[in-house]
Amino acid sequence: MDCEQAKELMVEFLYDELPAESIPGLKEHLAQCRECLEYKEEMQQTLEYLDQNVELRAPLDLAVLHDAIDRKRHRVRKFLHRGWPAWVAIGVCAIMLSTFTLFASEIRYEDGALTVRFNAQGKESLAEKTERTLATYREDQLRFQNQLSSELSDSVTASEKAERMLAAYREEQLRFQNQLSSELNDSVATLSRIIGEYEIQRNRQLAGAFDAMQVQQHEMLMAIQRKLQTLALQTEKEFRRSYYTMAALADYQ
Amino acid sequence: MQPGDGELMQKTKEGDMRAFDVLVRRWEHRLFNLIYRITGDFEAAKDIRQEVFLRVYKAAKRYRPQSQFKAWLYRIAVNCSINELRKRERRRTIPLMMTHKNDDMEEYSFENALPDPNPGPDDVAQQKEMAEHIQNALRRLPHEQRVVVILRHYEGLKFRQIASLLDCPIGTVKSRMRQGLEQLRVKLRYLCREGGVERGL
Repeated sequence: MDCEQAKELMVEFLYDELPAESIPGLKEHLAQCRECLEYKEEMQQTLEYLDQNVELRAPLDLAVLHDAIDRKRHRVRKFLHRGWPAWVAIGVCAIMLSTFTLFASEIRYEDGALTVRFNAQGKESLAEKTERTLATYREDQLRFQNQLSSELSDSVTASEKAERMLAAYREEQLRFQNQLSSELNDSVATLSRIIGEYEIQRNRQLAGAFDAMQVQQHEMLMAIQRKLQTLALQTEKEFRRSYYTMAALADYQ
Repeated sequence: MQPGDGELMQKTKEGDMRAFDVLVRRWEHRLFNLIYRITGDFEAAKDIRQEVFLRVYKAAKRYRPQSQFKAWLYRIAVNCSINELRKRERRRTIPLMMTHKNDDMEEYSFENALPDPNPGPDDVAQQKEMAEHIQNALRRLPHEQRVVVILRHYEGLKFRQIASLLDCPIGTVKSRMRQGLEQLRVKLRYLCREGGVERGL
């Protein structure tokens, strides 16, 4: 809480209207800030000064009040009950009012005073009045035109400004787009390069593995061939031995 | 048990003048003090108080029992007092100091209002002097601030009640109160030192 906030809350605090949640913050500030503490003490002293004012007693005369109420209540009725003088007064007032309205060139009520003016030459003629009205109308029209043209020029300026802002924005957008596409192209190129390298490496690895497998297969085939030759030799030997045995048996029979 | 203001207004509405008299007696002094503090003029305060009671009587027919009487009465009193101040401002006749002489105050039983039942002449003089200083300091405030200070400090209305009475935001009321008190702080300190009342506080 800063000093200005503390001073804003002070009045409510002094009149016990400050919400409970704001009190600890204010007290904490007062404990740290000498200036605000002095402000609070001076405000408190002002309230004590104000307390020195006394309550006055001015009894009201009820009879006077009742008279005033009665006067107010019966004012119109009493006036009308006066009979013909009242009606004559009303009639005179009505005639005067109509006269004023018909012949006065100006009736004005200002600062509690009614001003009625009559033109020295009587009421102005219809032509003069029309001319005056027309002149006023022309003046108003001219003022309105001026205002309109000034507003128009303002709006044109505003529209030009908006257009400039839009162009700048478009330019900015284009620059950003270009930057973005160049970055994208760079990324694509980098990625392609990485993929190519990876493929080459993989192919190289695969080729090595294939060669090793071929060698192994070749060795295996060779081993099988050797075993088959050995087996063929053994079979031939057996066959010969069987043949000799068969021939010996035939000789014996 | 005394009847409430709303009940008295209801009876006044039905034409019971005694009920209205009770209401007048109940509020006459508080209303006088409120108006006097706002306008700073004894005679004007008396006239305005009478005007306020006349309006209350006239408006009794329209009075709704659910509305708070005190707030309603104060609203009328404050409006009448402010109208009077505006009239004076227009006529440019508002005096810089109090309009009455000290002798006038005797008429309004100043002594009856003192807390000490048997005050010495010095005490009375000192109290009078102090009251004049305070009233003069209040009079020098702009009337928007003065009304708020009086309603909050002397009439004990809450800030939200004052806001509702004056038809303005509560923030405005608080800010007027703060500005009023800050001005009074300077004026009262100066006036009380000038008048030698400092020793009495």
